[in-house]
Amino acid sequence: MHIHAPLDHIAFENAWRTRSPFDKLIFGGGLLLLASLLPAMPWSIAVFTASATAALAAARLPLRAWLRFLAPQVGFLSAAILPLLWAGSWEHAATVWMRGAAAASCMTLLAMTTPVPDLLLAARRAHVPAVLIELSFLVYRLIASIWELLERLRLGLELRLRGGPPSLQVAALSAGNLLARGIHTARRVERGAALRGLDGFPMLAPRAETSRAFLVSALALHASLLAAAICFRSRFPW
Amino acid sequence: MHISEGFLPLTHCAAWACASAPFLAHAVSKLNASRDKRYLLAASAGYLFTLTALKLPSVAGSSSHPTGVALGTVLAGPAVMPALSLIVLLFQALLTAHGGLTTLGANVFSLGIAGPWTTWLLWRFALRCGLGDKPAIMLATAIGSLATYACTSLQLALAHPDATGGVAAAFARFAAVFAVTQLPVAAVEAVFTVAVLRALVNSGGVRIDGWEAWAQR
Repeated sequence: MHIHAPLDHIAFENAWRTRSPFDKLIFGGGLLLLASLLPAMPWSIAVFTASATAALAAARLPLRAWLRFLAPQVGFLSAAILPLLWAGSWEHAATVWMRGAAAASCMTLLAMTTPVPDLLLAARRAHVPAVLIELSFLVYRLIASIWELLERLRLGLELRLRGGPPSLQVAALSAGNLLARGIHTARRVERGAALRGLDGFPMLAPRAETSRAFLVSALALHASLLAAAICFRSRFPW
Repeated sequence: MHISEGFLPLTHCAAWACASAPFLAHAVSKLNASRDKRYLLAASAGYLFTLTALKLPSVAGSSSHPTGVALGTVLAGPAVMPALSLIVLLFQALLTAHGGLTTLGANVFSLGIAGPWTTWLLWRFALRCGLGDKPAIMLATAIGSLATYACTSLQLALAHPDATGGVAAAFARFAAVFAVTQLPVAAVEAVFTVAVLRALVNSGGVRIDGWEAWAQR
């Protein structure tokens, strides 16, 4: 519950909540592609700026929440490039870091503006196999239950052990108990849905129509970034 | 082992996605055939999500954590693991901003294909060689977990080969960096997996063929 709830809440409460997931996928996915394709300097900075502006100004995501989810990704990335630095390729490491940071900002934009149920419903409309979507819905519901169970188990252990660390055996038994209860919960959720005549675990989500104006603006932004990269390729080679 | 967004070139992302696609298609057909086990698969995926969320940053373009592939493989079978890992990895990208969307194919290949099949083949081989149930699953878990990371190291080495030593030197460098955190994690995960499976079978929560007698010991 504690891990995914904040990001999920923001995805449900931002200014782009009612926007079609298709629109957001085109916008964010296009920027993500550009971040991976274009020369890192200076186009990663341009992609980062575009996605940050969209997140903070257009979708009106809270700055602190946006930073809280972007910072660990950039932190991971900074640790990740150390082997490249040890190999002596400073330029390559800097390129990977800039590309990674720009791509992370695009993914943060997508994740923070698109609730998982919206994305799964969009995937179902895009003919992703039904069994995969059904299972995803069930897993999505279960994750919250499992985290809640985990929190209760952790609290129980802390109280019983008076704050001391549990032995490996105690931790493993608790984990086994957690999985057994997770299976029990999954069985109840599935049976409950079947008894209500719901197959495929549909969730209520507003079906937003795609906005032509939004799509045109998104594609125009992508095209202008690409055109600028082509025009300035002598100065910033690919 | 989740490779971060933007860490692989697009061509590599596409190649790993293509490599994972047939396994994923097979997993979907398996899922269609075992709809009655959907709750068990969902619980396994939820558990996998929980385990892989317990991450330690690693200096290799990725992270270290228990993989949970042995548990998933024993409970669900290696054939459906690509589908389960796809769901887990997608949710981790969207809910915890961990991993990536463009690197999904590469991550599915290591967590959903390389790890589970190594675990399953080794588990079966160890049992056939007469190794006891407990050592067999421990060995398979540890090696399966390390195989997942070896696959990630290879993916990173192919994307970022060493200027002088090429892919082999880069693989050795990435694998050495992972080993610092992953060797102890794999050892603990091996012991942990056996205890979890034992507790699970004893609780009556699940039936694993041939495991009841062992679990009572």
